[in-house]
Amino acid sequence: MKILFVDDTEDNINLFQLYMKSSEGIECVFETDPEKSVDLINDENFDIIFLDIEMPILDGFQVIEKIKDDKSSIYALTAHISGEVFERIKRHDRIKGIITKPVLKKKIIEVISSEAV
Amino acid sequence: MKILYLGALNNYFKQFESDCLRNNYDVIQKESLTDLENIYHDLSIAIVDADFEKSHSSAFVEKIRDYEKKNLITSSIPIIYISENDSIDSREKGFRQGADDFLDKFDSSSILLKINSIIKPNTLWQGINVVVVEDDLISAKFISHVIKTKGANVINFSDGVEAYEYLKGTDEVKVDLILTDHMMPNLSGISFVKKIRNEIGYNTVPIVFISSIENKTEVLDFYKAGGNDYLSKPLIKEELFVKVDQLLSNRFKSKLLERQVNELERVNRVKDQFLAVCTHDLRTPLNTILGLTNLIIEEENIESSTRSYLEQIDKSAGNLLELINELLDLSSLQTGNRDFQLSKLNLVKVIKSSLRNFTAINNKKIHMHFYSSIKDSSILGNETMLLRVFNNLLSNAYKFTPEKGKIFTHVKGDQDWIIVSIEDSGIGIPEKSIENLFNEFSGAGRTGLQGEKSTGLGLSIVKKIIDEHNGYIDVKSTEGKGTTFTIKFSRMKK
Repeated sequence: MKILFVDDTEDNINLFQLYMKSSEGIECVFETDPEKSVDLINDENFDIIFLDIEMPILDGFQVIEKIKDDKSSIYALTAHISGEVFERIKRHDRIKGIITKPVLKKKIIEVISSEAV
Repeated sequence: MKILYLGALNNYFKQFESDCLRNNYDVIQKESLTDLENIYHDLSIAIVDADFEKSHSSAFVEKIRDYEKKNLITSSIPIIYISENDSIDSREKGFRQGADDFLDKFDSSSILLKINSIIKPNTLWQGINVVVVEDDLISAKFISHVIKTKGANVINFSDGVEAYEYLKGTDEVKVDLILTDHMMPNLSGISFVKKIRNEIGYNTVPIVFISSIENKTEVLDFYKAGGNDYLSKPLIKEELFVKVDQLLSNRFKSKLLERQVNELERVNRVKDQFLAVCTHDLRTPLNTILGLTNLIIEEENIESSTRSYLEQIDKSAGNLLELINELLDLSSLQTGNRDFQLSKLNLVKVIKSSLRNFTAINNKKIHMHFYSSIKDSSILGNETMLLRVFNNLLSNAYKFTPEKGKIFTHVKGDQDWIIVSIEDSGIGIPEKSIENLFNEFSGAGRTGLQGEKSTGLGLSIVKKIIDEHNGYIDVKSTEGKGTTFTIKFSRMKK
């Protein structure tokens, strides 16, 4: 299994790295630059993409627009729990689920195990 | 020449002093009148703070008047009685003692205006622009003279057409009063008023009609055209002065209020934006705090004391998160960032899904009961927002209901409404808190029976969401017995 984490906040990426430290058999890629993440997704095949929505230059929605891939499961990471952004995520065809920040290890593991089945 | 301020040396005084200094007035502040004989000859006005006077059970005004009587001073000084509490009692107290005027303590512009009118009577209307339209030279000169003696600028026109052209090119804010004759060549006074009200769109500047017409219908026509007051010829100086003074002071006050409203609107927008940005950024560091704490708690070989510290960190960070979430909700509801979509939904389903959350954590063995007496509970709503409403109300009910208590949720309806009531057998809400219960930052936030923290924001969010759904919310509570919240939603039209 191959997973990509995209979040412009370095602290969050550090946290995800810690979460995934001991997971065997899963290849994880971490990216803080949304533009680079577009290239990564177009070059490699990921099973799951955890994608932050509020990012500078390219936000999560724009990243999705720019990628050709249509097989990976995309999960949105957002601090919003209501309002316009939240509704937009909910309505988005390409987004499979929403994980609201703060993101706990439990939630990441839940998603990964549901995808592994 | 000095102004005596009798009151506490506090922030109010400092503000008042700087307002006075800006107008070149000297102020002295006293908290008693022990050395009145040393300062009296220097004074031009005394300002007495009624609230200070009351708290010191003194009678400053009376003392000053007594001093004047004892020393046979005939030209007594004006005394302005100020209070933050404008009641008949406090007014009466001031005037009975011998005060000359009563003003709102925080209406600094009126206080300054009053001081100006006493110390510099000829600058009372300084900075004011008055337009006079009068074809009779003698009347025009007379009016201009009276108005100029109080310091106002006068712009004279002998013809309505010329005045109209001038006003057309001038911003209404720069004209404070218009005085116009009626019998004029080219354009009558009434037509002139109609033109400036309707064509130029001046709708706030007061207009005074000057005419020798005794015909009541014509005077009525003038008022109908948009005039504010009427002066009959021959003019009497005092009448002209009193009427103009009243209209101008109203104009001052409305201009001031307009400025204050604009400023408040601006500040409110800044506050909303601040709240929105701030709450979002506050969540980011919590990501690390909560994430890492959880990560360590899950490790097996940590000491039990370390674990309990970590659990406390986790709990506090969780409380903080809840507070931020509530602020975020409130700000997004307030900034009008609320284009959350309304769609057809089944209200009973939403309530049940919220109830399920509570049955899972119900360690107080509270009897949770749900009953619906209607088949169709469709309404137009937003599911996320409504979930928030029921989670909030049910979590309140849970927090404030003791062990083995009851929480009944009942859905009923008639032709037009669906009514949801949530009734608990909890500790109830004190009567004094009910009134402000739905206001944000009401301070009504209470710690739950098991020490659950509360922000006091929850119910204001509930109210806002219900408002967005064009619904109603009401509460009835008896201390020691319980609380019932009732919400009404309008049924979806088929």
